[in-house]
Amino acid sequence: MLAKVNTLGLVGIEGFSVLVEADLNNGLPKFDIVGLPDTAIKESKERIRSAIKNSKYKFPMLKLTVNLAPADIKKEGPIYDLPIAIALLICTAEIECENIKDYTFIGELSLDGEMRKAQGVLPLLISARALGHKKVFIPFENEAEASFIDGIEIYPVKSLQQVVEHLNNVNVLQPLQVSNFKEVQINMTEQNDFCYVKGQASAKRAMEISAAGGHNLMMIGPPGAGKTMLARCMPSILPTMTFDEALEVTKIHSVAGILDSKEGIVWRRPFRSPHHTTTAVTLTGGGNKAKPGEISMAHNGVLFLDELPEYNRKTLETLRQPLEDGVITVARLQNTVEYPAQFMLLTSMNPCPCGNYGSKIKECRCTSTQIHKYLDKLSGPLMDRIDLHVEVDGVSFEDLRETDKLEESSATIRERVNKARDIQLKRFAGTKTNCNAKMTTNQVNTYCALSQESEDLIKDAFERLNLSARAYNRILKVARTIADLDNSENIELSHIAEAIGYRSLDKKYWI
Amino acid sequence: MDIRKKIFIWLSMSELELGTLYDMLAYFPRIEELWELEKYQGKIVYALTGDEFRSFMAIKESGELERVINDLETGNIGFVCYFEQNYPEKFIELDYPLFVVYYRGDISLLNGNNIAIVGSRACTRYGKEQTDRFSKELSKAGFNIVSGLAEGIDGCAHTGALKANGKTISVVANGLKSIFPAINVDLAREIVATGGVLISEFYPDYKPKGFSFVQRNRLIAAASEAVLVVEAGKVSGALHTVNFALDLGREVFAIPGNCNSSASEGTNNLIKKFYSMCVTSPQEIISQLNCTQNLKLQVSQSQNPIKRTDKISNLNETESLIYNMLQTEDAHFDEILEKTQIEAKKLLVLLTTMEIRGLIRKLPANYFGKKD
Repeated sequence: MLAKVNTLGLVGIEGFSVLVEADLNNGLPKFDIVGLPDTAIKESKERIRSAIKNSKYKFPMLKLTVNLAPADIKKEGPIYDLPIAIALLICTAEIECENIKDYTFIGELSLDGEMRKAQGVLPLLISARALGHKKVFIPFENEAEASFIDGIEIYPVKSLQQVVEHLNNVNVLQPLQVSNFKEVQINMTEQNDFCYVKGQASAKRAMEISAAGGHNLMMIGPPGAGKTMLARCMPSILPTMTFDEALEVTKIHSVAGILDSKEGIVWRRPFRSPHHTTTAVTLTGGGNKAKPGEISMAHNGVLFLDELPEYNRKTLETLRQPLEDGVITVARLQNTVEYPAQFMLLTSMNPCPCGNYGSKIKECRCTSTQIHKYLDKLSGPLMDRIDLHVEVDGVSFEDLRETDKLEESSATIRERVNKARDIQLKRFAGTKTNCNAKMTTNQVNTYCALSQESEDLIKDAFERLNLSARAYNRILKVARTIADLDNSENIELSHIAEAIGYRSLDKKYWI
Repeated sequence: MDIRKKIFIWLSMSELELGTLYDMLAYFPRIEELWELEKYQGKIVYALTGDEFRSFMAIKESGELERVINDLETGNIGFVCYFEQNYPEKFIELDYPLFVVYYRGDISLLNGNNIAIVGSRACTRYGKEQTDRFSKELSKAGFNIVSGLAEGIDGCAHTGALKANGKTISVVANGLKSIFPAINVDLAREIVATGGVLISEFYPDYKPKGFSFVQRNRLIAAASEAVLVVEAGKVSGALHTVNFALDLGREVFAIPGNCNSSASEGTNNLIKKFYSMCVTSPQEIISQLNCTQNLKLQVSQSQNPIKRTDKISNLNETESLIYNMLQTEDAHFDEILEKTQIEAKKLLVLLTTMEIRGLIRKLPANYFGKKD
């Protein structure tokens, strides 16, 4: 007898329909799986055999052939355990279900017939909805991430037996209730809050601007100045994610297998901080299975590179194209996968090899050649893509610390950031741009018109402070964000002046 | 070219010690005889060992000498031999005067009033600031600033003089065909363009070796009336310059540093042991030298030009508070924030505009200071 069961496969973060066909023939007992399965699928034979047996169903002692169609796309991962087992049970008439075509199965089995957590369930379900699948069985542990998908019936199941009984109309399950995304968001709490960071007013302000406009930011300062601490607080002021943004992020995290099964959906903007020994592949994605890299996991969030000059220069150079395009194309043997990678780059570095350049408290005796060499590790094109430079000093003013002056909390800052981001979303409605940092040259010309006074100031600044020409557009974009934070339609003189203040690396006094 | 000049160039290219070469010359009252030397025989046997003789002859026989002479005849590197009229007088005071001084620019500068400003390559901001201040003031007073074109204090000494439209003398440790360190190539060009001079005791193609830097320091001391040490670590090349200067009877001044600063350990030691006079302002150097060397240099007037007052007059209250605060000492952004009690973003706007207007100066690590 022949049985056909629906399931799904995953390439990158896009799913495709797979049909599992099982056939029983007379002959010596044998179990074959064809249709480009990977090792995990080939090994599923043993899991399926035990799972069926331990669920008290009969395993046929005949010649079994299972085909995964279409046969020309490589299938990966253990999620085919459940559909294959179901197909076999239909063959042996353990399941009698007429409308099996309406069902889709995803899941890995354990030897005792229990379901195990699968990776990439969210993108599979999103694709399933688009491909017209109606009812999908998923492992129970993936319930949380699935609960945000509406327009499709989802059945989280704990064991093979539950599936069989539902199909046989013995114990009928209820489909999953859709959760409300907004409700989850209200319960947001952050571990790190700006109210615990004393002083550092200029750095905080720069981070607020950076969060509001999606600008790339670099913090420069001696060791122990609190750069990393500031960076850790960054997620607490990032603008709230929209549902679509959250789904995109969750898809990637689900594929990468870093999704928290309790929370289900990623409603916090991701904050990724790969160590400086990281390789180009872990950063951009790829490897044997073309997994998403750190920059894709940081999609819609922050990629934090601590001690930037310590990174391998070649590794850093790979960031240039995604920083510009917002996507990364990972090519491998079988196919090419495109992952989104719209992240905000947050970096920190010491000003010189010893780290104390410019500090009053500790002396720095690095020669200018040493400092040049240190800074030369960062290529011009990469530095070109960083909008804000802010200097953080490790000076601990005892009197500052002693005062009980209340620092602003992250929530207050985030409110302002959200307002500024809303203005931007309205401004760029209908275009690909979603924040000021991503403005095209055309948009800069339209939205960053300057008064004569401001124009003169910029001109003056360029002459007096030796700014480089490439800083011009960056200053305009940052000034636009500052104006948005001020809820001002036009860019005023003070906005430009502040934006110029964040270009310290361009100035000659550096070195 | 005069055969004597050729011989002097030959002598300057030799790696033998100057003392040995002078001893050898004592055997040859007619210096032209050297040119005819072929075999290790005759008088030369008394002067040089066989190895020394062979290495000396190799310069001529390999054609190296001929090439250097051709280069000098066609190129833009000048040279002056010991017996010539325009040979710098100050170098004659050396135990063994150089056979040839190679130079680029105006060699007569060496006969003026020169003061050397030397110090460590690895210096601090304090060192750079003081070098700049002293170099400018001394330059304005009429001194030519002598230094070694190295990174750090040396480079600052040269640029300080250039900023004050003064002339500066750079004594380098390599041949003048290339400039070392490469970072100062532009500076070297500017020194020559503004009427200064680069001098070297080494022939144009010479590549610097460790000892050549120490050897060069002897010329820095010789070329100057006095030596000012700004910052020198416990072991610093600048201390060699001091030793040479003391040997030659030059005045030595040192700028004191913090007692915990490793960059000033050397200078503080000099002061402690009375090897040098402790100075804290350029005027002290000028009046001291006026006294001991009978110079008649003017102490320049107070540094603040009058034109800045009209800029200051239209400052508002906060601006003048910041302005006055920075006149006495550099301040960190947070300190200014504390004093002025205004919002961080507004303060940044204020500071940036003041910077653009040329009232204050931004320093590394978020410090602000007065405009110099």
